[in-house]
Amino acid sequence: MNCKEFENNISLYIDGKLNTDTKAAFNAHLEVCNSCKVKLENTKNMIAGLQDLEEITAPKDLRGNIIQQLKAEEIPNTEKQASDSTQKNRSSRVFPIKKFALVAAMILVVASTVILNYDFFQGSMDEGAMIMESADQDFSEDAVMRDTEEAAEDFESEEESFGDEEVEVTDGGEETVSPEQYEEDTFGIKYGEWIVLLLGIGVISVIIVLQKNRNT
Amino acid sequence: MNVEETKLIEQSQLGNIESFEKLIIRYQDQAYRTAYRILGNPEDAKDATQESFIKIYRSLKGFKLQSNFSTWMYRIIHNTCLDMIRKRKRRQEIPIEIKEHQNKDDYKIPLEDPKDGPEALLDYHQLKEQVESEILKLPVEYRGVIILRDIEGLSYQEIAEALEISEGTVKSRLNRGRTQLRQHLAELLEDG
Repeated sequence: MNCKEFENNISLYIDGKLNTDTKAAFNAHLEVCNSCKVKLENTKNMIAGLQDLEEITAPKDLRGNIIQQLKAEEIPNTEKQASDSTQKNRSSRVFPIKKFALVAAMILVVASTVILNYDFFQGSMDEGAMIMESADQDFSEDAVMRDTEEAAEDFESEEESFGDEEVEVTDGGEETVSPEQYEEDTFGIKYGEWIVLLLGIGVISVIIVLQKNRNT
Repeated sequence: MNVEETKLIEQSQLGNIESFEKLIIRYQDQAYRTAYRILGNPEDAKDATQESFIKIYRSLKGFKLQSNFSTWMYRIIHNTCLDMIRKRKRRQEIPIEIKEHQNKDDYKIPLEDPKDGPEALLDYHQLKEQVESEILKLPVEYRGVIILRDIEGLSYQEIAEALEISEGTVKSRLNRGRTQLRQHLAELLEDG
């Protein structure tokens, strides 16, 4: 170990951080180099001087100043917390109404969809049943001819019944409307569905108005 | 950290200022002393210590109870002192060079070559008289590790945690800082 390496290891030597081999080399150099020995002694005395420096204590008013500042910061925070709490209470009073309205609107929309689809589905079911039935029909030539003749007979009887209906219409003071016609309104939407749709629009409008009032 | 101290910290985390006051009583001397040795004057040291305890209180909720409170406190004190030095940019009674750098571990300080010729054996009492003022001449990175090791008695690991540097960097800065301080003292006392 040379003097430069010795000086680089003085600090670790004093703090007991040298490994066995380096410490041995350090000690060996120490034995033979008086200059490095002086450096080691001066470093030890310097550290001892640092450790023996006059005891310094914190000023008497330091703690009080800190606590005073913390308490002063706490007051605005407390007011802010109270304000946040009031706002939360306010919003919690309004929120259930909005929530209820939203849920009601969703139920109405779903109900409308179900009703519309039910009718459609029902219609599809009937068509499906007819298709199923027709699938079972005999499509042989004789069967087709037989069906055609039956259809022609049906047509004639329908013409006769139609005539009867016409008489009924001209004789009666009152108009009679078939059940199918009674259920339909313009645009092909039934009365019941209109009611549901209008209720849904009404609920959504209420929500919008409530939201506007809340913002103002 | 003992049980009593843990309880004080827990209560302080819940906003109990009286408990935090007891923590201040425990640590205010160490905190102030460290700030005083880094900054070199009592007014700055008092400001830095006050500011540090306020920061500690505000960030207590993030403190993990398994950690060492005093190490954390030293970190905040040290960083507050560095911020104060940078902000005020003032010259100390004895001129100090403040070197700013991004990554503390990458900071390279050129190793001073040992003086040629033998060094005189210095008297302990002479050393003690001068060391307090001479330490303020050191770069702040050396000053910090010497104060924490030789005055506050922290271990290498604790210093590394407090200053958020590696233990290798602690060893390196401590060795260079002590060497530089010793050489300054030797020159001063030999000339005097």
